[in-house]
Amino acid sequence: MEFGSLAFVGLSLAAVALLRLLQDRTRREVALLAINAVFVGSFVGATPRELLPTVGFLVLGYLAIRAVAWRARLLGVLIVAVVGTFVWLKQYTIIAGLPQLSFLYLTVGLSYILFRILHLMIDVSQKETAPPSVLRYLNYTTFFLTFVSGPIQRWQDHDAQMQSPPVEANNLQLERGLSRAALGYVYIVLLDKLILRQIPYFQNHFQLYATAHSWLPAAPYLAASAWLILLHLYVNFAGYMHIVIGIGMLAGLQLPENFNNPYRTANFLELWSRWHITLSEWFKFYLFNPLLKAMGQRWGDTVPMTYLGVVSFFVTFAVMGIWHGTTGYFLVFGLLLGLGVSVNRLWQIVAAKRLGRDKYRLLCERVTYADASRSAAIAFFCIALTCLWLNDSPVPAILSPMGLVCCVLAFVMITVAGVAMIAGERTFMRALQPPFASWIKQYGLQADVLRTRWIAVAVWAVVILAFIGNGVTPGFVYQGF
Amino acid sequence: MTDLSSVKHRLNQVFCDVFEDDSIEIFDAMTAADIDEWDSVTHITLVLAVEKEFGVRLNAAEVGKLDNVGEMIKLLARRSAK
Repeated sequence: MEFGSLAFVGLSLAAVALLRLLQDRTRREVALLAINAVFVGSFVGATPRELLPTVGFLVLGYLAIRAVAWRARLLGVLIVAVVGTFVWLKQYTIIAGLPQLSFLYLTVGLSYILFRILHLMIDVSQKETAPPSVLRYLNYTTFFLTFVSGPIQRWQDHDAQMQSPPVEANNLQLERGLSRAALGYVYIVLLDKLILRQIPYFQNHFQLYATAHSWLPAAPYLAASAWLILLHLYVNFAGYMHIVIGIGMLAGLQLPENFNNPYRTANFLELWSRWHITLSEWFKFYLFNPLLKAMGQRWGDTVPMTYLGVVSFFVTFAVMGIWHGTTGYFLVFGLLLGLGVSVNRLWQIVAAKRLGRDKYRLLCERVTYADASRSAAIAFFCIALTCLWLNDSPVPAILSPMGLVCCVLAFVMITVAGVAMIAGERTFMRALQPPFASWIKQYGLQADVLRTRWIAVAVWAVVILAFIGNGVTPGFVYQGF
Repeated sequence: MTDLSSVKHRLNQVFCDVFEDDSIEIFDAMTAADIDEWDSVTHITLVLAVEKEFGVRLNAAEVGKLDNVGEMIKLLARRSAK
Protein backbone atom coordinates (compact mmCIF):
# COMPACT_ATOMS: atom_id res chain seq x y z
CA MET A 1 0.00 0.00 0.00
CA GLU A 2 1.52 3.29 -1.12
CA PHE A 3 1.56 6.06 1.48
CA GLY A 4 0.21 8.46 -1.12
CA SER A 5 -2.75 6.24 -2.03
CA LEU A 6 -6.38 6.80 -1.11
CA ALA A 7 -6.39 3.32 0.43
CA PHE A 8 -3.69 4.42 2.90
CA VAL A 9 -5.59 7.61 3.73
CA GLY A 10 -8.75 5.53 4.33
CA LEU A 11 -6.92 2.98 6.49
CA SER A 12 -5.30 5.79 8.49
CA LEU A 13 -8.67 7.46 9.11
CA ALA A 14 -10.11 4.13 10.27
CA ALA A 15 -7.14 3.66 12.63
CA VAL A 16 -7.47 7.19 14.02
CA ALA A 17 -11.19 6.68 14.67
CA LEU A 18 -10.74 3.26 16.31
CA LEU A 19 -7.80 4.31 18.48
CA ARG A 20 -9.61 7.47 19.56
CA LEU A 21 -12.98 5.87 20.25
CA LEU A 22 -12.24 2.44 21.72
CA GLN A 23 -11.72 2.67 25.48
CA ASP A 24 -11.20 -1.02 26.17
CA ARG A 25 -7.53 -2.00 25.85
CA THR A 26 -8.15 -5.45 24.37
CA ARG A 27 -10.57 -4.06 21.80
CA ARG A 28 -8.02 -1.39 20.86
CA GLU A 29 -5.34 -4.03 20.40
CA VAL A 30 -7.64 -6.30 18.34
CA ALA A 31 -8.75 -3.37 16.15
CA LEU A 32 -5.14 -2.31 15.62
CA LEU A 33 -4.17 -5.87 14.71
CA ALA A 34 -6.87 -5.87 12.03
CA ILE A 35 -5.56 -2.53 10.66
CA ASN A 36 -1.99 -3.85 10.68
CA ALA A 37 -3.06 -7.07 8.95
CA VAL A 38 -4.79 -5.10 6.18
CA PHE A 39 -1.72 -2.92 5.72
CA VAL A 40 0.83 -5.76 5.68
CA GLY A 41 -1.50 -7.92 3.54
CA SER A 42 -1.70 -5.13 0.95
CA PHE A 43 1.90 -5.85 -0.08
CA VAL A 44 1.01 -9.41 -1.12
CA GLY A 45 0.93 -9.81 -4.90
CA ALA A 46 -0.11 -13.07 -6.57
CA THR A 47 -0.49 -15.47 -3.66
CA PRO A 48 -0.68 -15.24 0.16
CA ARG A 49 2.27 -17.66 0.26
CA GLU A 50 4.51 -14.61 -0.34
CA LEU A 51 3.82 -13.63 3.25
CA LEU A 52 4.89 -16.96 4.77
CA PRO A 53 8.57 -16.03 5.40
CA THR A 54 7.51 -12.83 7.23
CA VAL A 55 5.03 -14.83 9.34
CA GLY A 56 7.72 -17.45 10.02
CA PHE A 57 10.20 -14.73 11.04
CA LEU A 58 7.64 -13.22 13.42
CA VAL A 59 6.99 -16.67 14.97
CA LEU A 60 10.73 -17.29 15.36
CA GLY A 61 11.11 -13.87 17.00
CA TYR A 62 8.32 -14.52 19.46
CA LEU A 63 9.66 -17.96 20.40
CA ALA A 64 13.13 -16.44 20.87
CA ILE A 65 11.73 -13.76 23.20
CA ARG A 66 9.90 -16.41 25.25
CA ALA A 67 13.03 -18.57 25.33
CA VAL A 68 15.29 -15.80 26.68
CA ALA A 69 12.65 -14.97 29.28
CA TRP A 70 12.94 -18.60 30.40
CA ARG A 71 16.76 -18.86 30.14
CA ALA A 72 18.69 -15.60 29.66
CA ARG A 73 21.80 -17.61 28.80
CA LEU A 74 20.23 -18.52 25.44
CA LEU A 75 20.42 -14.90 24.29
CA GLY A 76 23.67 -15.18 22.30
CA VAL A 77 22.68 -18.34 20.42
CA LEU A 78 19.22 -17.02 19.66
CA ILE A 79 20.53 -13.67 18.41
CA VAL A 80 22.71 -15.63 15.97
CA ALA A 81 19.68 -17.71 14.91
CA VAL A 82 17.44 -14.67 14.38
CA VAL A 83 20.09 -12.59 12.56
CA GLY A 84 21.07 -15.67 10.51
CA THR A 85 17.46 -16.21 9.45
CA PHE A 86 17.21 -12.52 8.54
CA VAL A 87 20.40 -12.70 6.41
CA TRP A 88 19.05 -15.82 4.68
CA LEU A 89 15.62 -14.32 3.98
CA LYS A 90 17.17 -11.10 2.68
CA GLN A 91 19.60 -13.17 0.53
CA TYR A 92 22.77 -11.19 1.29
CA THR A 93 24.88 -11.65 -1.85
CA ILE A 94 28.08 -10.89 0.09
CA ILE A 95 27.61 -14.34 1.68
CA ALA A 96 28.08 -16.97 -0.98
CA GLY A 97 26.01 -20.15 -1.23
CA LEU A 98 22.93 -19.15 0.77
CA PRO A 99 20.10 -21.62 0.02
CA GLN A 100 17.06 -20.04 -1.62
CA LEU A 101 13.34 -20.54 -1.17
CA SER A 102 11.61 -21.88 -4.25
CA PHE A 103 9.06 -19.05 -4.46
CA LEU A 104 9.01 -15.26 -4.51
CA TYR A 105 8.25 -13.67 -1.16
CA LEU A 106 7.94 -10.32 0.61
CA THR A 107 10.87 -8.73 2.39
CA VAL A 108 9.19 -5.37 3.10
CA GLY A 109 9.51 -4.47 6.77
CA LEU A 110 11.80 -7.40 7.66
CA SER A 111 14.71 -5.14 8.66
CA TYR A 112 12.59 -3.19 11.09
CA ILE A 113 10.95 -6.32 12.49
CA LEU A 114 14.50 -7.57 13.17
CA PHE A 115 15.38 -4.44 15.18
CA ARG A 116 12.24 -4.75 17.27
CA ILE A 117 12.73 -8.46 17.92
CA LEU A 118 16.38 -8.02 18.96
CA HIS A 119 15.46 -5.09 21.21
CA LEU A 120 12.78 -7.19 22.92
CA MET A 121 15.06 -10.23 23.23
CA ILE A 122 17.84 -8.21 24.89
CA ASP A 123 15.53 -6.23 27.19
CA VAL A 124 13.53 -9.31 28.20
CA SER A 125 16.69 -11.36 28.88
CA GLN A 126 18.02 -8.53 31.07
CA LYS A 127 14.69 -8.29 32.96
CA GLU A 128 14.18 -4.75 31.69
CA THR A 129 10.69 -5.70 30.54
CA ALA A 130 8.36 -8.70 30.70
CA PRO A 131 7.74 -10.71 27.50
CA PRO A 132 4.67 -9.32 25.70
CA SER A 133 1.51 -11.26 24.86
CA VAL A 134 1.20 -12.48 21.25
CA LEU A 135 -1.32 -9.76 20.44
CA ARG A 136 0.81 -6.92 21.82
CA TYR A 137 3.94 -8.38 20.20
CA LEU A 138 2.29 -8.49 16.77
CA ASN A 139 0.98 -4.95 17.11
CA TYR A 140 4.45 -3.73 18.04
CA THR A 141 6.34 -5.54 15.28
CA THR A 142 3.83 -4.85 12.50
CA PHE A 143 2.43 -1.46 13.53
CA PHE A 144 1.24 -0.05 10.20
CA LEU A 145 2.70 3.43 10.67
CA THR A 146 6.20 2.17 11.40
CA PHE A 147 6.22 -1.22 9.64
CA VAL A 148 7.86 -0.17 6.37
CA SER A 149 10.72 1.94 7.68
CA GLY A 150 10.34 3.09 11.26
CA PRO A 151 10.74 5.23 13.24
CA ILE A 152 12.00 2.47 15.54
CA GLN A 153 10.04 3.13 18.71
CA ARG A 154 11.13 1.42 21.91
CA TRP A 155 8.72 -1.30 23.02
CA GLN A 156 8.19 0.34 26.41
CA ASP A 157 7.10 3.63 24.82
CA HIS A 158 4.86 1.96 22.22
CA ASP A 159 3.16 -0.32 24.73
CA ALA A 160 2.66 2.39 27.37
CA GLN A 161 0.68 4.41 24.81
CA MET A 162 -1.35 1.43 23.66
CA GLN A 163 -2.24 0.47 27.22
CA SER A 164 -3.31 3.98 28.24
CA PRO A 165 -6.88 5.08 27.60
CA PRO A 166 -7.17 7.31 24.52
CA VAL A 167 -6.44 10.97 25.23
CA GLU A 168 -9.29 13.34 24.45
CA ALA A 169 -8.46 15.14 21.22
CA ASN A 170 -8.15 18.90 21.21
CA ASN A 171 -8.26 21.14 18.15
CA LEU A 172 -4.67 22.27 18.34
CA GLN A 173 -3.39 18.71 18.56
CA LEU A 174 -5.49 17.68 15.56
CA GLU A 175 -4.34 20.73 13.58
CA ARG A 176 -0.73 19.93 14.38
CA GLY A 177 -1.20 16.33 13.26
CA LEU A 178 -2.90 17.43 10.05
CA SER A 179 -0.32 20.09 9.21
CA ARG A 180 2.50 17.64 9.95
CA ALA A 181 1.04 14.98 7.64
CA ALA A 182 0.34 17.60 4.98
CA LEU A 183 3.90 18.88 5.21
CA GLY A 184 5.05 15.32 4.54
CA TYR A 185 2.95 15.19 1.37
CA VAL A 186 4.43 18.54 0.27
CA TYR A 187 7.93 17.10 0.73
CA ILE A 188 7.06 14.07 -1.39
CA VAL A 189 4.55 15.31 -3.93
CA LEU A 190 6.29 18.61 -4.67
CA LEU A 191 9.89 18.74 -3.49
CA ASP A 192 10.91 15.13 -4.08
CA LYS A 193 9.36 15.09 -7.54
CA LEU A 194 11.19 18.30 -8.39
CA ILE A 195 14.52 16.89 -7.20
CA LEU A 196 13.99 13.54 -8.94
CA ARG A 197 13.49 15.33 -12.27
CA GLN A 198 16.94 16.97 -12.04
CA ILE A 199 18.97 13.90 -11.08
CA PRO A 200 19.09 11.94 -14.43
CA TYR A 201 20.71 14.85 -16.30
CA PHE A 202 23.70 14.96 -13.95
CA GLN A 203 23.86 11.19 -13.47
CA ASN A 204 23.84 10.49 -17.21
CA HIS A 205 26.62 13.01 -17.84
CA PHE A 206 28.67 11.53 -15.03
CA GLN A 207 28.16 7.99 -16.39
CA LEU A 208 29.18 9.16 -19.89
CA TYR A 209 32.43 10.73 -18.69
CA ALA A 210 33.12 7.90 -16.23
CA THR A 211 32.70 5.26 -18.93
CA ALA A 212 35.17 7.18 -21.11
CA HIS A 213 37.54 7.52 -18.09
CA SER A 214 37.39 11.33 -18.42
CA TRP A 215 37.49 11.78 -14.69
CA LEU A 216 38.16 15.51 -14.43
CA PRO A 217 35.08 16.63 -16.40
CA ALA A 218 33.12 13.90 -14.58
CA ALA A 219 33.80 15.46 -11.15
CA PRO A 220 31.25 18.33 -11.21
CA TYR A 221 28.55 15.92 -12.44
CA LEU A 222 29.45 13.46 -9.69
CA ALA A 223 29.26 16.30 -7.15
CA ALA A 224 25.86 17.49 -8.41
CA SER A 225 24.42 13.95 -8.63
CA ALA A 226 25.69 12.98 -5.19
CA TRP A 227 24.33 16.15 -3.59
CA LEU A 228 20.93 15.86 -5.29
CA ILE A 229 20.62 12.20 -4.30
CA LEU A 230 21.29 13.03 -0.66
CA LEU A 231 18.69 15.79 -0.90
CA HIS A 232 16.25 13.31 -2.51
CA LEU A 233 16.87 10.75 0.27
CA TYR A 234 16.34 13.39 2.94
CA VAL A 235 13.19 14.91 1.44
CA ASN A 236 11.72 11.46 0.71
CA PHE A 237 12.50 9.89 4.08
CA ALA A 238 11.76 12.99 6.19
CA GLY A 239 8.55 13.50 4.17
CA TYR A 240 7.32 10.00 4.96
CA MET A 241 8.26 10.47 8.60
CA HIS A 242 6.21 13.70 8.71
CA ILE A 243 3.24 11.72 7.36
CA VAL A 244 3.43 8.84 9.85
CA ILE A 245 4.21 11.10 12.82
CA GLY A 246 1.33 13.38 11.82
CA ILE A 247 -1.13 10.48 11.54
CA GLY A 248 0.17 9.20 14.89
CA MET A 249 -0.64 12.61 16.43
CA LEU A 250 -4.17 12.42 15.03
CA ALA A 251 -4.57 8.98 16.63
CA GLY A 252 -3.25 10.31 19.96
CA LEU A 253 0.06 8.43 19.63
CA GLN A 254 3.48 10.00 19.91
CA LEU A 255 6.05 8.49 17.55
CA PRO A 256 9.73 9.37 17.99
CA GLU A 257 11.35 11.88 15.64
CA ASN A 258 13.76 10.50 13.04
CA PHE A 259 15.31 13.77 11.84
CA ASN A 260 16.59 16.90 13.50
CA ASN A 261 17.80 19.31 10.80
CA PRO A 262 20.67 17.06 9.62
CA TYR A 263 21.98 19.82 7.34
CA ARG A 264 22.82 21.77 10.53
CA THR A 265 25.20 19.12 11.83
CA ALA A 266 28.50 20.30 13.34
CA ASN A 267 30.48 17.31 12.05
CA PHE A 268 30.14 13.79 10.63
CA LEU A 269 29.77 12.20 14.07
CA GLU A 270 26.97 14.55 15.08
CA LEU A 271 25.15 13.85 11.81
CA TRP A 272 24.02 10.52 13.28
CA SER A 273 22.16 12.20 16.10
CA ARG A 274 20.28 14.17 13.43
CA TRP A 275 19.75 11.67 10.57
CA HIS A 276 17.68 8.48 11.01
CA ILE A 277 17.89 9.14 14.73
CA THR A 278 16.00 6.06 15.93
CA LEU A 279 18.27 3.74 13.92
CA SER A 280 21.39 5.46 15.32
CA GLU A 281 19.92 5.21 18.84
CA TRP A 282 19.21 1.51 18.34
CA PHE A 283 22.77 0.83 17.23
CA LYS A 284 24.10 2.94 20.10
CA PHE A 285 22.02 0.99 22.67
CA TYR A 286 22.66 -2.49 21.34
CA LEU A 287 26.02 -2.41 19.56
CA PHE A 288 28.18 0.65 20.28
CA ASN A 289 27.62 0.79 24.06
CA PRO A 290 27.95 -2.97 24.79
CA LEU A 291 30.96 -3.28 22.47
CA LEU A 292 32.81 -0.32 23.97
CA LYS A 293 31.89 -1.46 27.47
CA ALA A 294 33.20 -4.96 26.79
CA MET A 295 36.42 -3.59 25.29
CA GLY A 296 36.79 -1.17 28.22
CA GLN A 297 36.43 -4.03 30.71
CA ARG A 298 38.98 -6.11 28.78
CA TRP A 299 41.57 -3.51 27.73
CA GLY A 300 40.50 -0.29 29.50
CA ASP A 301 43.52 -0.35 31.84
CA THR A 302 46.07 -0.51 29.03
CA VAL A 303 44.43 1.23 26.05
CA PRO A 304 42.82 4.69 26.48
CA MET A 305 39.02 4.57 26.15
CA THR A 306 39.15 7.28 23.49
CA TYR A 307 41.00 4.91 21.12
CA LEU A 308 38.72 1.98 21.98
CA GLY A 309 35.90 4.40 21.15
CA VAL A 310 37.33 4.86 17.64
CA VAL A 311 37.24 1.07 17.12
CA SER A 312 33.69 0.88 18.45
CA PHE A 313 32.58 3.71 16.17
CA PHE A 314 34.15 1.99 13.17
CA VAL A 315 32.50 -1.38 13.85
CA THR A 316 29.09 0.16 14.62
CA PHE A 317 28.96 2.29 11.48
CA ALA A 318 30.34 -0.45 9.27
CA VAL A 319 27.56 -2.79 10.47
CA MET A 320 24.97 -0.01 10.09
CA GLY A 321 26.09 0.56 6.49
CA ILE A 322 26.04 -3.14 5.64
CA TRP A 323 22.54 -3.41 7.11
CA HIS A 324 21.31 -0.99 4.44
CA GLY A 325 21.64 -3.56 1.63
CA THR A 326 22.57 -7.05 0.60
CA THR A 327 25.30 -6.43 -1.99
CA GLY A 328 29.02 -5.66 -1.87
CA TYR A 329 28.31 -1.97 -2.58
CA PHE A 330 26.69 -1.69 0.82
CA LEU A 331 29.76 -3.27 2.40
CA VAL A 332 31.85 -0.46 0.86
CA PHE A 333 29.24 2.05 2.06
CA GLY A 334 29.50 0.64 5.59
CA LEU A 335 33.29 0.76 5.55
CA LEU A 336 33.18 4.38 4.33
CA LEU A 337 30.79 5.34 7.13
CA GLY A 338 33.10 3.59 9.61
CA LEU A 339 36.10 5.39 8.15
CA GLY A 340 34.30 8.75 8.31
CA VAL A 341 33.33 8.52 11.97
CA SER A 342 36.73 7.07 12.97
CA VAL A 343 38.69 9.85 11.24
CA ASN A 344 36.32 12.43 12.72
CA ARG A 345 36.81 11.02 16.21
CA LEU A 346 40.60 10.77 15.82
CA TRP A 347 40.71 14.38 14.64
CA GLN A 348 38.77 15.44 17.76
CA ILE A 349 41.21 13.56 20.00
CA VAL A 350 44.36 14.83 18.29
CA ALA A 351 43.15 18.44 17.93
CA ALA A 352 42.04 18.59 21.58
CA LYS A 353 45.42 17.18 22.67
CA ARG A 354 47.50 19.47 20.47
CA LEU A 355 45.55 22.67 21.07
CA GLY A 356 44.19 21.95 24.53
CA ARG A 357 40.47 21.55 25.24
CA ASP A 358 39.69 25.26 25.55
CA LYS A 359 41.45 26.28 22.34
CA TYR A 360 39.85 23.38 20.46
CA ARG A 361 36.43 24.46 21.72
CA LEU A 362 37.14 28.02 20.56
CA LEU A 363 38.20 26.68 17.16
CA CYS A 364 34.92 24.77 16.83
CA GLU A 365 33.00 27.96 17.59
CA ARG A 366 34.74 29.96 14.83
CA VAL A 367 32.31 30.53 11.96
CA THR A 368 34.73 29.56 9.18
CA TYR A 369 35.70 26.31 10.91
CA ALA A 370 32.10 25.46 11.84
CA ASP A 371 30.86 26.08 8.28
CA ALA A 372 33.69 24.06 6.73
CA SER A 373 33.18 21.20 9.20
CA ARG A 374 29.44 21.09 8.53
CA SER A 375 29.88 21.17 4.76
CA ALA A 376 32.65 18.57 4.78
CA ALA A 377 30.43 16.22 6.84
CA ILE A 378 27.58 16.54 4.34
CA ALA A 379 30.00 16.23 1.39
CA PHE A 380 31.52 13.03 2.79
CA PHE A 381 28.06 11.54 3.31
CA CYS A 382 27.17 12.43 -0.31
CA ILE A 383 30.29 10.69 -1.62
CA ALA A 384 29.77 7.62 0.60
CA LEU A 385 26.22 7.33 -0.74
CA THR A 386 27.48 7.04 -4.33
CA CYS A 387 28.04 3.32 -3.53
CA LEU A 388 24.27 2.97 -3.45
CA TRP A 389 23.47 4.48 -6.84
CA LEU A 390 26.44 3.89 -9.16
CA ASN A 391 25.68 1.38 -11.88
CA ASP A 392 27.90 -1.66 -12.06
CA SER A 393 30.24 -0.50 -14.83
CA PRO A 394 31.88 2.64 -13.36
CA VAL A 395 32.26 1.24 -9.84
CA PRO A 396 35.49 -0.72 -10.33
CA ALA A 397 36.74 2.08 -12.60
CA ILE A 398 36.09 4.73 -9.96
CA LEU A 399 38.47 2.84 -7.71
CA SER A 400 41.31 3.62 -10.19
CA PRO A 401 43.70 6.43 -9.08
CA MET A 402 42.02 9.00 -11.36
CA GLY A 403 38.56 7.78 -10.32
CA LEU A 404 39.47 8.44 -6.71
CA VAL A 405 40.81 11.88 -7.68
CA CYS A 406 37.37 12.51 -9.22
CA CYS A 407 35.74 11.56 -5.88
CA VAL A 408 38.08 13.88 -3.95
CA LEU A 409 37.37 16.72 -6.39
CA ALA A 410 33.63 16.15 -6.05
CA PHE A 411 34.01 16.14 -2.25
CA VAL A 412 35.86 19.50 -2.39
CA MET A 413 33.24 20.96 -4.75
CA ILE A 414 30.33 19.97 -2.49
CA THR A 415 32.18 21.32 0.56
CA VAL A 416 32.92 24.68 -1.09
CA ALA A 417 29.36 24.98 -2.44
CA GLY A 418 28.04 24.08 1.03
CA VAL A 419 30.10 26.82 2.72
CA ALA A 420 28.77 29.34 0.19
CA MET A 421 25.18 28.19 0.77
CA ILE A 422 25.52 28.43 4.56
CA ALA A 423 26.88 31.99 4.23
CA GLY A 424 24.00 32.87 1.92
CA GLU A 425 21.44 31.39 4.30
CA ARG A 426 22.95 33.33 7.23
CA THR A 427 22.68 36.64 5.34
CA PHE A 428 19.13 35.86 4.26
CA MET A 429 18.00 34.92 7.79
CA ARG A 430 19.60 38.05 9.28
CA ALA A 431 17.54 40.16 6.89
CA LEU A 432 14.32 38.18 7.30
CA GLN A 433 14.22 37.45 11.02
CA PRO A 434 13.55 40.91 12.57
CA PRO A 435 10.39 41.71 10.57
CA PHE A 436 9.11 38.13 10.98
CA ALA A 437 9.74 38.20 14.75
CA SER A 438 7.90 41.50 15.17
CA TRP A 439 4.99 40.16 13.10
CA ILE A 440 4.75 37.07 15.33
CA LYS A 441 5.08 39.23 18.46
CA GLN A 442 1.84 41.05 17.63
CA TYR A 443 -0.08 37.85 18.29
CA GLY A 444 1.53 37.22 21.69
CA LEU A 445 0.76 33.79 23.14
CA GLN A 446 -1.46 32.91 20.21
CA ALA A 447 1.45 32.99 17.76
CA ASP A 448 2.07 29.26 17.95
CA VAL A 449 -1.60 28.43 17.35
CA LEU A 450 -1.90 30.91 14.48
CA ARG A 451 1.27 29.66 12.87
CA THR A 452 0.04 26.07 13.01
CA ARG A 453 -3.33 27.03 11.50
CA TRP A 454 -1.79 29.07 8.70
CA ILE A 455 0.69 26.32 7.93
CA ALA A 456 -2.12 23.73 7.91
CA VAL A 457 -4.28 25.75 5.53
CA ALA A 458 -1.42 26.73 3.21
CA VAL A 459 0.10 23.28 3.15
CA TRP A 460 -3.17 21.46 2.45
CA ALA A 461 -3.91 23.90 -0.38
CA VAL A 462 -0.54 23.08 -1.91
CA VAL A 463 -1.06 19.33 -1.45
CA ILE A 464 -4.46 19.38 -3.14
CA LEU A 465 -3.11 21.45 -6.06
CA ALA A 466 -0.12 19.15 -6.37
CA PHE A 467 -2.29 16.02 -6.40
CA ILE A 468 -4.57 17.51 -9.04
CA GLY A 469 -1.67 18.54 -11.25
CA ASN A 470 0.74 15.66 -10.84
CA GLY A 471 -0.70 12.24 -10.19
CA VAL A 472 1.71 9.54 -9.03
CA THR A 473 3.81 10.17 -5.88
CA PRO A 474 7.44 8.99 -5.59
CA GLY A 475 7.86 5.69 -3.72
CA PHE A 476 9.38 5.41 -0.27
CA VAL A 477 13.13 4.88 -0.82
CA TYR A 478 13.79 3.39 2.61
CA GLN A 479 11.18 0.70 1.98
CA GLY A 480 13.92 -1.10 0.04
CA PHE A 481 16.29 -1.33 3.03
CA MET B 1 17.10 1.86 50.07
CA THR B 2 20.61 3.34 50.20
CA ASP B 3 20.71 6.97 51.27
CA LEU B 4 20.36 9.18 48.17
CA SER B 5 22.74 11.83 49.47
CA SER B 6 25.47 9.28 50.09
CA VAL B 7 25.00 7.92 46.56
CA LYS B 8 25.15 11.46 45.21
CA HIS B 9 28.36 12.16 47.11
CA ARG B 10 30.07 9.02 45.79
CA LEU B 11 28.78 9.65 42.28
CA ASN B 12 30.15 13.21 42.37
CA GLN B 13 33.61 11.81 43.04
CA VAL B 14 33.25 9.41 40.08
CA PHE B 15 32.33 12.36 37.84
CA CYS B 16 35.35 14.35 39.06
CA ASP B 17 37.66 11.40 38.32
CA VAL B 18 36.22 10.57 34.90
CA PHE B 19 36.12 14.15 33.65
CA GLU B 20 39.38 15.05 35.44
CA ASP B 21 37.77 18.12 36.97
CA ASP B 22 37.52 18.50 40.76
CA SER B 23 35.19 21.48 40.46
CA ILE B 24 32.26 19.42 39.13
CA GLU B 25 29.16 19.63 41.33
CA ILE B 26 26.51 17.23 40.06
CA PHE B 27 22.79 18.05 40.28
CA ASP B 28 19.66 16.01 39.53
CA ALA B 29 18.79 17.72 36.25
CA MET B 30 22.38 17.51 34.97
CA THR B 31 22.71 15.91 31.52
CA ALA B 32 25.43 15.44 28.91
CA ALA B 33 24.61 18.94 27.66
CA ASP B 34 26.02 20.40 30.90
CA ILE B 35 29.50 18.89 30.52
CA ASP B 36 31.32 19.49 27.23
CA GLU B 37 33.38 16.30 27.51
CA TRP B 38 30.33 14.06 28.18
CA ASP B 39 30.04 12.28 24.82
CA SER B 40 29.27 8.68 23.78
CA VAL B 41 32.75 7.47 24.72
CA THR B 42 33.06 9.21 28.09
CA HIS B 43 29.52 8.01 28.81
CA ILE B 44 30.75 4.41 28.72
CA THR B 45 33.89 5.39 30.70
CA LEU B 46 31.51 6.86 33.26
CA VAL B 47 29.35 3.71 33.27
CA LEU B 48 32.39 1.49 33.86
CA ALA B 49 33.58 3.75 36.70
CA VAL B 50 30.08 3.79 38.23
CA GLU B 51 29.84 -0.02 38.03
CA LYS B 52 33.21 -0.33 39.77
CA GLU B 53 32.43 2.21 42.50
CA PHE B 54 28.95 0.86 43.30
CA GLY B 55 29.61 -2.82 42.57
CA VAL B 56 26.68 -3.10 40.16
CA ARG B 57 26.25 -4.35 36.60
CA LEU B 58 24.07 -2.15 34.38
CA ASN B 59 22.17 -3.68 31.47
CA ALA B 60 21.98 -2.33 27.90
CA ALA B 61 18.77 -0.35 28.43
CA GLU B 62 20.05 1.15 31.69
CA VAL B 63 23.33 2.18 30.06
CA GLY B 64 21.43 3.74 27.17
CA LYS B 65 19.04 5.66 29.38
CA LEU B 66 21.58 6.95 31.92
CA ASP B 67 21.82 10.46 30.58
CA ASN B 68 20.39 12.28 33.56
CA VAL B 69 22.16 12.43 36.93
CA GLY B 70 18.93 12.33 38.95
CA GLU B 71 17.85 9.10 37.25
CA MET B 72 21.34 7.71 37.74
CA ILE B 73 21.26 8.41 41.49
CA LYS B 74 17.84 6.77 41.87
CA LEU B 75 18.90 3.73 39.87
CA LEU B 76 22.13 3.31 41.82
CA ALA B 77 20.36 3.70 45.16
CA ARG B 78 17.85 1.05 44.08
CA ARG B 79 20.48 -1.34 42.73
CA SER B 80 22.96 -0.87 45.61
CA ALA B 81 20.21 -1.69 48.11
CA LYS B 82 19.59 -5.12 46.51
